[in-house]
Amino acid sequence: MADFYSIREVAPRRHVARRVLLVVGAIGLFVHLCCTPSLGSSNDTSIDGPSRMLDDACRTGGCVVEKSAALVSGVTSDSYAIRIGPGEGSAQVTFTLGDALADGFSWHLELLASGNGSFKVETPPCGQPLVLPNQGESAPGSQPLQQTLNPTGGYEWISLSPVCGSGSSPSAATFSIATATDDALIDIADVRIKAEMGSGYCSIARVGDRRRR
Amino acid sequence: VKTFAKPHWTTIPLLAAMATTGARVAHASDNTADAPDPSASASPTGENTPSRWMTRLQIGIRWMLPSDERALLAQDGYDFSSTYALTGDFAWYVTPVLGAGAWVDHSIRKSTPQFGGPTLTQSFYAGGVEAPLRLTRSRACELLLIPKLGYGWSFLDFGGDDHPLHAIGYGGDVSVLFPRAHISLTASWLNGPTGRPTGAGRDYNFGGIAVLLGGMIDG
Repeated sequence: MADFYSIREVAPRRHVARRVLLVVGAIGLFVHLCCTPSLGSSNDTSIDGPSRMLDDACRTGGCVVEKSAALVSGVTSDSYAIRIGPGEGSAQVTFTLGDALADGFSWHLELLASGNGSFKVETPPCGQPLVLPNQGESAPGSQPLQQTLNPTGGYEWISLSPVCGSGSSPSAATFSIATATDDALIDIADVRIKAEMGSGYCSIARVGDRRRR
Repeated sequence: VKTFAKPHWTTIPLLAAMATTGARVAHASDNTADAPDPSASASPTGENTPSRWMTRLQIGIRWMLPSDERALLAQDGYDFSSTYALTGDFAWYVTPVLGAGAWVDHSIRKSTPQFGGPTLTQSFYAGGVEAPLRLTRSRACELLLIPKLGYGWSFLDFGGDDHPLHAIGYGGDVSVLFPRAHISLTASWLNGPTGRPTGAGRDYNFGGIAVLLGGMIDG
């Protein structure tokens, strides 16, 4: 049988097989590198909190909606969003912060929202619980802070006041939002904590680092 | 005296499949310049006769087409600029230049936000018909233009119950085939605008531009 095989022809075929394996391996490595999230350094003066905190809040009963407000599917069909309007409506969201706060950073809430019209937002002073008007009298010194929200079309992260210092690290954050005009409509796709390095601090702490400690 | 190269063990399953389907096996002796065979051109399976069918399996990278939904997910910390892609197709040549066939396509990608949060999985399944057009051909190399039409389902989920976004998908491939080496190299474009899902989502497109490499057999 060995006489039927030509040494002159077997060698090139093996070379071709090796080349094919090399090309396939190179392509596989290229695919892996291109599809692996980059490990680039983050800006340590500003840290975005974990994504999908709104889902955690709504799954645990932290999303209370009234009148024209409703819980709808969010960025995916298995996630939550809050839609308010048109017409009178309101929502209150309370969510746990967990490890979202980094040492040495001041922080505030942000909404990933899209819509139009005008909305009234209430947040508690730093370190205080939010008390809605229909939930009784507020404790002295804990009157909610009010601000007006005017979303303009497409989705964007909207910052809420107040900016709390690193010393006020509650276990939960909360806010309420209500329509201020009848034609107002807003979709809130997510909420998060935005942490920024305060003056006088010199920290390189990151959320991920803090979790690993 | 006609000699045959000893097949490498990794090619045995492929050769067995080709033998049962009548596929041609390319040999060094196929070079007609070295060993002219007057009967080859007369034979329907001769080396100068174009193949009557081909089938391929390819893997690669797909760069997703821009969409409002993708932009929204990026704002929420989920990057989906590219995904892994796996494609396959089979075509029968009605004429030496024009064929008809079917294709399937699958891609998947998982994304985890940099600062924490659940992992988002994006997967996509599609299939349909194609009409490969041979632009140039020889036993060493073929250049194909392959228009495609089909239907696709895309799943975006955080691990919960998911309802797919689905739409008609269309596009085309430009492929270079190396029949002797059984290699296919493809640049692919697919468009699949799904429109806006219910809820707070935005318009999505499961299509993209892909670079694919894989194996092929013909006969």
